[in-house]
Amino acid sequence: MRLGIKRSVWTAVGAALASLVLVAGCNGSAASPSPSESSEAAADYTVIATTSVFADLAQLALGNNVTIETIVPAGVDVHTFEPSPADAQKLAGADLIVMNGLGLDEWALSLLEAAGKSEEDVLELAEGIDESNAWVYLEGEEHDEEEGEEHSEEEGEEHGHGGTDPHIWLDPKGAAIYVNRIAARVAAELPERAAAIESARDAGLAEIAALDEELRVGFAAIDASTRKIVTFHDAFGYFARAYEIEIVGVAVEAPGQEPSAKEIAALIDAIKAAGVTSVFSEAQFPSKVLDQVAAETGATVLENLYSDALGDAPANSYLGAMRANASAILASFK
Amino acid sequence: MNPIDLLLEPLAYDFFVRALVASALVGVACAVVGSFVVLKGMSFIGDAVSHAAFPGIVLAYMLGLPIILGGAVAAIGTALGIGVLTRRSGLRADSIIGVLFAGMFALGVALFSSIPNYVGDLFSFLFGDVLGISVSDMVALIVLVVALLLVIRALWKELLFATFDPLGAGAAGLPVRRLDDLLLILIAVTIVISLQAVGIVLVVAMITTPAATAQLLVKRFGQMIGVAALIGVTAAVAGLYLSYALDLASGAAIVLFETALFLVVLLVTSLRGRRTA
Amino acid sequence: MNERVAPSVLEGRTPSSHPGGRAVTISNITAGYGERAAISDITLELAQGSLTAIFGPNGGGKSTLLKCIAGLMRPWAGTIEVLGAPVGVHAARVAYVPQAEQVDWSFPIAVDEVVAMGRTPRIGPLGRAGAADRAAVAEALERVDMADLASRQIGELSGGQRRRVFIARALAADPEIYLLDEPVTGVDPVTQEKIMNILDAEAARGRTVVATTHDLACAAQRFHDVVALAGRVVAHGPAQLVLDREVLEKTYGGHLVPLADGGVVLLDDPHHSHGSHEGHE
Repeated sequence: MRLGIKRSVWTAVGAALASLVLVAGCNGSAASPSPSESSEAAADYTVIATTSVFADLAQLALGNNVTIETIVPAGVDVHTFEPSPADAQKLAGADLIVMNGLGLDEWALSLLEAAGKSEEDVLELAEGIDESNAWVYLEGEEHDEEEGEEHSEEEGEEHGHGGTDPHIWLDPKGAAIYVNRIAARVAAELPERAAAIESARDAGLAEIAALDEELRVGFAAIDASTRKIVTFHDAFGYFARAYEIEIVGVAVEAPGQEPSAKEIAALIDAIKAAGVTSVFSEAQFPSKVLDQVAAETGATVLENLYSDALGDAPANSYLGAMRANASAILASFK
Repeated sequence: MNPIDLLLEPLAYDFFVRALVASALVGVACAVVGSFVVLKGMSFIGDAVSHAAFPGIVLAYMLGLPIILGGAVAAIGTALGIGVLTRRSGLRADSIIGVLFAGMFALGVALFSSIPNYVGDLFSFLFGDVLGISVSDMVALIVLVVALLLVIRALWKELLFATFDPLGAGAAGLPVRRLDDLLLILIAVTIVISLQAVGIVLVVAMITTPAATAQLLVKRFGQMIGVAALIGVTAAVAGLYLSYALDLASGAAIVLFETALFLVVLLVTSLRGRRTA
Repeated sequence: MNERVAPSVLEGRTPSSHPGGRAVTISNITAGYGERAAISDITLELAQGSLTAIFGPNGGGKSTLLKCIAGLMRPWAGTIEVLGAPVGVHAARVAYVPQAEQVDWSFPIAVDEVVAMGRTPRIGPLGRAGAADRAAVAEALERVDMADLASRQIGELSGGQRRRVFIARALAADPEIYLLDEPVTGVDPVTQEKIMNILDAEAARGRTVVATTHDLACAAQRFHDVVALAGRVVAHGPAQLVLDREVLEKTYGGHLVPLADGGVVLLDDPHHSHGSHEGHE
């Protein structure tokens, strides 16, 4: 009767698998409430942002008038984040999806269909942000002439800058634009809360303005000749421009791969020649090499700057993260 | 720029000097151990053990332990496991090696994929990161390589006898099984300390190629070890300089130099053989 | 229990007495591979200074017995004492010369490097070869007539030369007991002669020499004592006394073909060919 037992085991397994498939299928096609419907159930308005940065900016824009959530968990790199079906499910419950665009978080768009959403449910913060080129910061611009290389598409990277640096929020003026946009959009959808939203927004903008002034003063106090950094990832282009920090960048052929001896030698030369004392690391550049470069040139390697995501307190808010960045950078200027 | 300048220019950089020292040491260690590996006919084992180190490295990283420690435990464990399983199972060594090789590496990949973040430091173990070697890393490397070479120097005739003729050695009273295990441990340790220089993927070349080249040139084992070591050092230095001059990845440059040298020697010796035949 | 042929034939046949005690004492050992016993319940004593040939059909257990004495195989039952102690204790004073096929001939090792391996147990771990060791190697090479080939890579040698190299390795070790597995099988007559002369000389010096062979003529003519082995000891004693027809029949069974004049011809086992022994019999 061995066969008999085996058969019943297989039947049970088959039944279990079948029911799993059914359950999964059912979940995938759950209908989600449309924005117009949820305005009736106002208390449930949910904004879901791709990263913690945008979630916090939404907080500055909207206060406690809505529910705000994030997709990419804390501590996870946005560039290499791979969304899962669970993330699509999460999005299904959103009334507004906030993303950056410009190649930073395009994966959010690919989740829309699975989440039962459309592009109308999405607020792309950087979209059309500038028709006059004030906000276009091209990658590879400030690099040494002899290198002159554009960043090639990094392996496994979902960034795909395609020329324009998306890190607009790292300049507080850009963050202010984002805050305004978020507030405007939500107020339009929740007119009964517009007044509350506007006052929250104003408070947020005031704090951002204060931050901006604080940083401006702080950096201006540093002599221009020492106000230089080396960076590989152009996240801080806008930041540097805002506070007149000179970027002495050296292009590395393919960030994430092992840099060649010559590239490292050139980097050392550039650092020494420019008298740079701050080197910004990035996740993709081997930190061991960077440590040795720092040791050889006496520069400080800044490893924990917050660019795409927030961190632990006190850097668990946009303002906190910016202040943490600023104090680390200021301290590294010698 | 004259040749002397070409040689001296990179030496102005500390990182390059350290990389030279580290690579040269790794080259010697791999070549010496590689002579025994080739004698054993288990060149495959270099590849297997280096890949087997990967899950140890990833696990150590996840647990916050020193990466080299994790790699060493996994590598040594796998090397000894190869010995035990080969003796116990009656299967040929290459089957055992193949199974463990793939299984361990797959385990490493599975663990690696469970880490949500991008981990550049782990990536460097795949291809080596000798340009990023710190002073303390280099000192540790020097100590380990010297210790390794001392052990081999002390026991090389026992290792040679046991590897060349296990039956005769056992009859003469040598502890063949323990010497076998010792050799496996030496192989594993060499591989782990070499991972920094050339990474998991290429370390097998540093173990096999110099010894294979030496085998074409000399007839005595004593000479073979010496020639292999010389090739190892030369390739390390030449490879680094090439990587500097031609903007190549350093680990790959070293291995390419060794491989090219092997092919040249093969060509020359086979031509010479034909003429005298 | 040793099976004996007709008592009249074996009367007075004890192993040749030589000065010195017992080099090898084997008591009731049974050994084999997998589940099959190659030798069963063997009891044997070999005196120091004896020159003994173990002969018998393939599968009779010659190699197995030798390996048990050499410590390369562990008997399933029984005990073996070598030079008064259990096997392995005095391993450095025993030299085992295998059937040479189990080595990688393509490896870059020179003749003198192989011979020098024989000195390894004597030099000991952490030790280095000294003048005495180099002299022993040189002398061993001389005795096997390979001195001028000392730097040759072993792959370049003929079969007979390879055999001589391994004999030289044993000589260099200067052991008290030589265990040789088919030392004169598969080599040319000149080499055979050289090897047998060396074994003679060693026995004359008081060394114990034990060799397996399936060459009956050699066993009969060149060894003092013989052991007829066919899974068990059929007979053990001086060659001229042991090698009679009854012993041969008991040892070789159906491989004997009677001749018209009353003699017999021993047919070579069809599974056996010179120079290609399997690992076990």
